[in-house]
Amino acid sequence: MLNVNNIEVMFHGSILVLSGVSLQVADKQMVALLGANGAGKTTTLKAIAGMLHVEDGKVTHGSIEFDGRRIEKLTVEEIARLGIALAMEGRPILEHLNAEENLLVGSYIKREGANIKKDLDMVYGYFPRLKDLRKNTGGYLSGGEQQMLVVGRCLMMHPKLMLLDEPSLGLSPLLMREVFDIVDRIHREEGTAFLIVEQNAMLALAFTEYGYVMENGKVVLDGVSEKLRANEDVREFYLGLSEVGNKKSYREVKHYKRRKRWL
Amino acid sequence: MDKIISLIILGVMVGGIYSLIALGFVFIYKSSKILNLAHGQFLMFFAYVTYTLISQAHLPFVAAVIIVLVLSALVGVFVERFTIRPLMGQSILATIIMTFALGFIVEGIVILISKGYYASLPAFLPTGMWKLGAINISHQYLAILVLTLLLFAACMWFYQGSRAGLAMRAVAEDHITTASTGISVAQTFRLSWVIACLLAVISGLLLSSLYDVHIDLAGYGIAKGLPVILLGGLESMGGALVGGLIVGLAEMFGAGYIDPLVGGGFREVVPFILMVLILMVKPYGIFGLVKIERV
Repeated sequence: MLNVNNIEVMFHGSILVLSGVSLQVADKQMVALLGANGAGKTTTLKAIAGMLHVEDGKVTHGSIEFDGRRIEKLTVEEIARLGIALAMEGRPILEHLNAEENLLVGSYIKREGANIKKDLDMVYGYFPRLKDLRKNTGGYLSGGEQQMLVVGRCLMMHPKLMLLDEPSLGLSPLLMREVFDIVDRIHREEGTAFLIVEQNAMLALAFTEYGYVMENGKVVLDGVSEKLRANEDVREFYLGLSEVGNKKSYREVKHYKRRKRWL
Repeated sequence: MDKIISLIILGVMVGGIYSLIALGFVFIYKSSKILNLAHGQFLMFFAYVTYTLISQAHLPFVAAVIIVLVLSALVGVFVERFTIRPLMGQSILATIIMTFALGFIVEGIVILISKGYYASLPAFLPTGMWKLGAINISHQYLAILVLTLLLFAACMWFYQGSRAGLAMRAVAEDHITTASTGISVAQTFRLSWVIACLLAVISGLLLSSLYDVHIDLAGYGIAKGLPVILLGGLESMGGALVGGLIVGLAEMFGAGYIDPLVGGGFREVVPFILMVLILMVKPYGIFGLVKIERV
């Protein structure tokens, strides 16, 4: 469904951020995109969602196809209407609107009348807490509630593909798990495909079917999530484990010298 | 006592018009953070066009107003498309200066064509007066106040209750987040310019029913509109209403009690003194949005 084909992204016409990123998301597939800070994960998502121009960036090479259609030149609005919903990093809620209005903004493009009510009920089904908070001002919700609100707003758009940028950022481990559980349920029940950027590689690989690892603006490794979890390099560099089941001892590793070169 | 009551009544009525002028500013500021400094010139321009249609083309008043309303919507679309949108992404200041320039261009056009004559529209509001003892209530002012309140109610319903209003509120919060839900930010901008221009027509006509059609209406629009929105808070419709009433009342009391002492002219200064005082205490205005920051 989504086919990112060897894209190169440049900012301000000269700063090369991505060079040769390719990835695929099939219908109803859950895909993880992993990597260290500054590897280009968020930029990849923004390229897909058409948001690069905000920071004066551009896809200078390669193509992004969605359902067989080239989308790398479309605007943010047009891409959203095609069925790609991006939940940006940092919980971008509309802070002076209340929770329910935040959700209604998501339903603006497609739905009218009775369907909106049904969609609201669906979102409240996944996030019962939002129902109690629906008249509360978005800006005053807690971090976890705001994250749910953002995912809920994306859900109201009935997207074919949801892009989640670090849904667990700043959440407690318990809440992280809850968010991922709900994402998993949405995936199973609504058939939405997901592309999830996550720092918490262990968690992300546990919930997804396929994973890509990025470094320095390139995809350096990809594979079925289970295999990635077993891959020694991934274990060492992202999961912090060197031998099965053992926590890595930082005393024994000179990390800076042993940094893996992928290419 | 009679003097106080009649000052209050007059203040509220005059304030109504100020609120209406301010509402035009608020619509544009809310969605795009642009202060439309051409608003005064727009309302003057539309008043002139209405007058010309009536006096030169001999159209009946209602027909002329309808034509001008349609024209103003087109002006809104045109202005947004060709002067505001190309500047999107640039500094807001550039856009504000653009509206400033636009105002002078409109004013220049009007002077060029009309040579700056005074003209008066046919009376379209009820004339007459209720006398309650020493207190006079002008039907004209009362009609203006009622019309203003109705328009405010309509605008607030539109903003809080309609789908397009929700899109406008979302755009007012954050452009890129809103765009990522598929709502077109450009379309929403266009809509807010159209609404602001329609409001400019109405407030222009109401003003010229009081003061004749003249070039000075433009400066009047700015000089009354700015203090009101800064007082009430740039983003707030309720603020525009309350701000307008405060300015209207302050002006009338200034005119009634201080003008005789200083020999006149104080009325024009009152709104600005008030504005400075309130901004020192509440920099966002009385009802302005305070950015929500959670710690």
